[in-house]
Parts: sequence; structure tokens; C-alpha cells
Amino acid sequence: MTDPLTSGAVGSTLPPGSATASITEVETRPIEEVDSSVEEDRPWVVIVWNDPINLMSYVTFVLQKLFGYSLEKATELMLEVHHEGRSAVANGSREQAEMHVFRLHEHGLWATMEHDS
Amino acid sequence: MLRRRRPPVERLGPDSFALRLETNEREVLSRLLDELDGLVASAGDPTSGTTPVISRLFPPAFTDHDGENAERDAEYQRLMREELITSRRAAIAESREWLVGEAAERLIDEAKLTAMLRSLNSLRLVLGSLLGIADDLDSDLADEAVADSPDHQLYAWTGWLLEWTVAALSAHE
Repeated sequence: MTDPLTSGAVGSTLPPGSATASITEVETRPIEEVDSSVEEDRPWVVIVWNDPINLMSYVTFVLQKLFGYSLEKATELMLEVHHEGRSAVANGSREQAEMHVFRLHEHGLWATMEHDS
Repeated sequence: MLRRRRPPVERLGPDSFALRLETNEREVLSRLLDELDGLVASAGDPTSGTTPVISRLFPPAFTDHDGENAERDAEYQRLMREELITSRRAAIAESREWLVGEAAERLIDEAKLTAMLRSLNSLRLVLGSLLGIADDLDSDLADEAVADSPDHQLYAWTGWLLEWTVAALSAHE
């Protein structure tokens, strides 16, 4: 948790371009656009789904390789996939989640992304 | 089949692995990889349509397919499918390099073996989809007559080789 009154007081840096910015130049955007950007900012979670073809050892190995999980953590996630049908293996921004999904697809795992509820 | 004295894939050092396949095994694997390459390449053609096999190799990226996510998925497929095709075909090409020639044992590095791992898994996805393996009971192959069919034997063999490959990559140096 950060306190907005004190956080950044020491060693903070202004965003690029802000030194010459003017409050009269504040950009206004339509409400729908703002809402859409807020929606995109909600965190995404990456799901791996159960699949009768992929080997359990293979799924465990891929989770270790892509996410740096320990054998114990990767095995736990793999077993959750196997028994519960799905497991949340990572989360992040939309861009990060899409990259995770892509790499899981590269390795043949059935992965999708959804908004974190 | 001859009894093996040594594993088909084995870690020898930090970045060194032995791949030991019989001549007939290399021939079969080469042929399967050729077919897989053609299949993956065809997935870039929008007129080729969607089959269960293609769907399995290129699954949707979003869990729900309501209006907004359908648009997001279409965008993801537009941007990433070609990249996925390129990545898969590169892995297949690397894997095939190690199957030509007469030597029964090849020394390969981790990057090459990982390419082989991904290609073997893609093969299993295709074979499993073609065999209609839809749940864990199917994959147990309890019916001996079905399990003895050539397609199921190929499916089982690629699984066996994949298991050894995972074990070798996971083994401590």
C-alpha cells in the first residue's frame, strides 16, 4: 500500500514531457473511451485447461520452463488442471497475458485468458 | 522390437544430450514431421477452413466468446497465428535435421532437443485429435484391439519418446 501524500516524495521523477505540460492542455476523451481503457486495465488471468492428450510430465515441465516455477509448484498447478479441469497459472496486463497465452500455445497447451474476477 | 540397452534420449552434460533412434524410428518420425509441417503450413491459408486438428493446434486465446472477446480473439489470431505457424515450422525443421543420415546416436544441444520436444507434442496433438481422444479414459486405451491399431501405436510411441525427452531435459546435470 502506498500513501498518495508521501509516496514518491523522495527520488520521484516526472513522467517524460510533464515538465512542459500545461493544465490547460489536459486531454479530454469521450466517456466510452475512458471506460474502455479502465476495462482493459483490469488484470487478466491466464488459464490452462485439462487436456487428455498432453502428458502430465510435459505440462509440469512447460510450466517450470515458461514461468520459472519450482517442480513442486508446477506439479501442484498441473494436478489442479488434471483434477479441477483448469488452473490459473499466471496473471498480468492484457499484453503480458497474451504473451503467456502465446507461449503456452507454442508448447501445445490449451490456454486462454480472462479478466480476473 | 529390440530391447534397448540405453534410453532413447539422455542428458550427457549441461548442454549436451544423446538422441538414439533406430533407422526405422527415424524414418517414421521424419515422415510424420513432414506431414505435420504441411498441416501447420496450411493453417495460414484462410480458405483452408477449420478442422478439429487445426483448432487444437491453434486454440482461441480468450475464455469467453461474447461480443467483445470475440473481437479480441479475432485480433489475437490475426496478429499471432502467423507467428505461431512460423515458430512451429522452425521447430519442425530443427527436429528433422537430427533425423537424416545413418548414425544411430546423435549429440544435440538443449535448444535443439527443446525444438524436438515441441514437435513431438504437436504430433501427439494431431494424432490424438485424429483418433478422437476426448477424455482421460480414451487415452488409457483399455480396448486392446483399438490399442493395437497402427495409429494408436504411433500415438503411444510418440508419447513414449516425449516422456523420455521430458525426463532428459528435467534431469540434473
